[in-house]
Amino acid sequence: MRTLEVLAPETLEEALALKAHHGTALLPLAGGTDVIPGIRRGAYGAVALLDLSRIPDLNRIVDDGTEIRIGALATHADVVESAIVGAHIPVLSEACGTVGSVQIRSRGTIGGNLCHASPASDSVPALRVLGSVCEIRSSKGTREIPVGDFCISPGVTRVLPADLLVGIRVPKMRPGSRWFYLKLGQRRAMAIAKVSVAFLAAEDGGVLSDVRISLGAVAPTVCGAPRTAACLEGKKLGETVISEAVEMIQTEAKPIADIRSTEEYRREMVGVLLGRGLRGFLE
Amino acid sequence: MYICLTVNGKPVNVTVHPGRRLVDVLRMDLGLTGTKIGCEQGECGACTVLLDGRAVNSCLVLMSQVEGREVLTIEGLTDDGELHALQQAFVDTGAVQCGFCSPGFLMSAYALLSRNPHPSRDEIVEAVTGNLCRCTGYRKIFQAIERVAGCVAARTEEQ
Repeated sequence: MRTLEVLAPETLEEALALKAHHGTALLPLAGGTDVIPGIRRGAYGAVALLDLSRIPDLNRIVDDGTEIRIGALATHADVVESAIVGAHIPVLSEACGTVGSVQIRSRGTIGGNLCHASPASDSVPALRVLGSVCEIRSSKGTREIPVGDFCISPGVTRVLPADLLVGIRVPKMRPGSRWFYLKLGQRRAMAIAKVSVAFLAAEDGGVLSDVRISLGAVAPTVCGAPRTAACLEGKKLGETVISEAVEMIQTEAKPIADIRSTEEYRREMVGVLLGRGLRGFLE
Repeated sequence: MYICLTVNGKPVNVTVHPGRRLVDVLRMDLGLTGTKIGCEQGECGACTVLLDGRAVNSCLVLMSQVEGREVLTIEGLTDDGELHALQQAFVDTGAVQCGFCSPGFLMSAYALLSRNPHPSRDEIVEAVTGNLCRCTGYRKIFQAIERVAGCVAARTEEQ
């Protein structure tokens, strides 16, 4: 494997100064589960690595009252095992628990997962339905971008050359929220999603409101299904409503075909997963 | 770069290129060749070691990332030449065939049992999903881990 130069700053300020100076010539290294195989494949040109692992507190998960703040370097294992996440944003625990294997979850980070900008990401559909916001820092200051606008295309995000993603702020779910994250892969473990569906809604007396749906692996980025969500808004869940929603999402989703699956299969399965999740609420 | 870490309970100070992989330094610089190199992309688990108590693929860790951290390899499981209970169970159960995947499986099993001494069959399966074995068909491996975990009920069901 090619051995790249590594800069390992001890503080965030130092890291931001290095990023401001070197820009895209410095590739941030979080967990490394995507970057290190990428180095081996020769996917990166003349870059050096910016190892973020020595910066204190970049992996902290904090309850901020109405929101949970997750440091960009929190691993999938940190998220799954966090009592704060489990209590207030369980759809994210569920999604992060389906990532790769134990070994990958020990290393892969939530910030790295976002910046990798894979349409098949497990954390992004969950973060998107939760209405999460990315905190981006540069030596000039902080800006915020909603998770739904963060990814532009596979591997491309709104992070600029001098920026670092430092954390994600996630609004707490309301008590009694209805949610699911369902994923279909080649096998249960170590599988990258062919299709995934994240769902979140408020429910009062069986009537759904504030319905949010995100789809993974069907388009070049994680996307929403606003027409299907609108079709469920204000409805009481039953077999007819569910069948209508399944039919609608199969029309609304515009799946891609790639090495993992075909357009037809994805279109069919996006409906199957939505139906399975919604019927689960009736039990 | 000068890196200080703990390997199998002993402090280790090395001067290495910070971009080298942990697995290469363990095998080539420290002579700990029990950790195997398989797929080199985090799929097969042959290079599994514990990093601060968590199972990780040592082919996906760079030396820069282990400053001040604690690494446990398969060599650290044996106590003065005496096999660890998990290793003995792998031998007794026939969970070892070619043996190439065994160190990785043992480290994943060790990580599981340190956090959860009495796992269910499902929890055992989940804990080793990041480890591939092309010989045993996995059942003997699950049985070996269960033998140590003392899951009598699950063992009976298997027979």
